[in-house]
Parts: sequence; structure tokens; C-alpha cells
Amino acid sequence: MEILDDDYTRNELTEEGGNLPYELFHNWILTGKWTVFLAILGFIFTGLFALVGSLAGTMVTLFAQLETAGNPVYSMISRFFQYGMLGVLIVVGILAFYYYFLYQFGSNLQNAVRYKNQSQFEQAWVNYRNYVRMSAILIGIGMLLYIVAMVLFAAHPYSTPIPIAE
Amino acid sequence: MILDTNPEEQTSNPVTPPEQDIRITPFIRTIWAEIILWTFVCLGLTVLYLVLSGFFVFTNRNPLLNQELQSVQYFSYFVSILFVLWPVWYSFKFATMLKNGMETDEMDSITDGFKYFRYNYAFYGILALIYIGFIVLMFFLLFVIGSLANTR
Repeated sequence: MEILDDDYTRNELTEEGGNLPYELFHNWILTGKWTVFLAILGFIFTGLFALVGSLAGTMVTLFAQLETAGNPVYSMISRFFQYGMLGVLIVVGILAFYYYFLYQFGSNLQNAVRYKNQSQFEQAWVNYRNYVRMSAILIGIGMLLYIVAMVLFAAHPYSTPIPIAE
Repeated sequence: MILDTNPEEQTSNPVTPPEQDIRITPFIRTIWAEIILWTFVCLGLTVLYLVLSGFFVFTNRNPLLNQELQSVQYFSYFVSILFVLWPVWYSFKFATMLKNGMETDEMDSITDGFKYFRYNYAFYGILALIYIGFIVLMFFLLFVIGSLANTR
């Protein structure tokens, strides 16, 4: 596989590079390739999420308008999906930015190493800083949502703790 | 005409900038320090998530699951821990080695840190490839089963 081929990257690099060792450039260029690959997968996933989210919202709204007119449950679900669509748009926007930072990092890092471009090198790490910062914020939000869900589940009457063995 | 110009002027052509080396400037050091900080935040939150989810899995019994499925739940939790802790370990090594290298100006430590950085993304990439393989296999099996059902 081209990505994992050491000789491929070795030919692209020159032995120069200030006082930095060759292995560092080798690691950076391979990291750049993997991150670009992951970012492209992320973009595809984001597009699929947007497609499925919008289709689900449209179908529920159509059901509510067609044969189930006056059904309180369907009208409630369709009202929920109106807000749900807003949620889908927000999530898609966040994910698009998230993977954009990763893509910019990978492509800038590869170009910086190949063409010895210092400004692209700095830009790559600024993008990666943004990516990691966004990751931390998203993990934090996910944690909060998880704790809320856990508390709600624990408060459910059917949720009983495992009895301690004597 | 290019041939008419002085060779000195040709080398200073603005279209082809002179070759320059990549250097670890103070700006890069500042950005790397921020990356290390945010990586540690991510790691801390991930470990906290693992602890909380473990607490949740082992202290609450899902009424919809019977005893056998409960043990499957425990097993899947341990497997998921393995898959989460593996990249967490790589990220931890990256952050600590880069921090150590920046503090002591040791290039070997920085190089090793970026090796773990590469391993981290290679792990995610290979995992993604395995998932894609499973999805493709699933679609292929569905296609085969569907075509066999149509022929009967």
C-alpha cells in the first residue's frame, strides 16, 4: 500500500531540512496522509448524516400531512423533527468544521514537508491546534450529555442496582 | 527574453521562491505547547468517560437484558476499553515525549513523540479501513442473499 510504503516517502524527501532529522519528516508526511484520509472519510460521513437526517425529517413531516392528519402523535413528532432538522444542521456544520481542520492540517503538513514551506508548516499546526481544541470541547459536551442520560436512567424506577454478594 | 537577463536576476525570480528549511520557531513551540495542553484535556476527559461508563455498566442492571446478555454487555465494555485505551496510550506518549523534548531540547524525544503521533492516526485509519471492509462485505452478502432469494 502506497501510504505505508517507506521508499515512497523516502524518495519524496530530501536529506536536507535544517537541523531536523529525517525520521521527523518521515513521521510528519505519513501522519499527513493518514489525517487526510480520515478527514475525507469524515466528510463522507457528514454528508451521509445530513442526507439521512433531512430524509427522516421530510418523511415524518409528509406522514403527518397525509393520511394521519389530526393524529396528535404524528403532529407532535413532526413538530419535534422541525427542531430536529435544526439540530441536524448544527451537527453537520460542527462536523464539517471539525474535519476541515483535520484536512487542512494533513494537506498543509504534507506540502510543507515536500516543498519546505515554513508558512504552510505553521498553518498546519495552527489547524491541528484548532482540531484538538474542538475535539476537547466536543468530548466535554458528550460527557455532559452522557452524565445527564446516566442520571435519568438511574432515576428510572426499573433501574435497580446489582445486589452485593455476601 | 530569459537568456538576455543576468543569471543573478534569474535566481532571485519571485515566481520561484528560494528553498528554505523547516524550522521549529518560537511560534511553533507555542502552538505545540497548546496542542499538548488540549491533548491532555482530551485524554483526561476520555479516561473520565471510561470510569463513568464502567460505573454505569457495573452498578446498574438493565431490566431488558437477562443474565447472559448482561455478561455480553460486560464483555463488550472491556473490548471497547481496549479500543479506546490503545489510541489514548499513543496520544499520551506523544504529548509527554513532545513536552519532554521541548523542555530539554532533545530532538530524539520530539522525534519519538511524533512517531507515536503517527501511530495514533495510523491506528484510526486502519480501524476505519476495517469498518469499511465490514460494510462492503455486508452489502455484498445482502446482494448475494437477495439474488439467491430472487432465483427461487
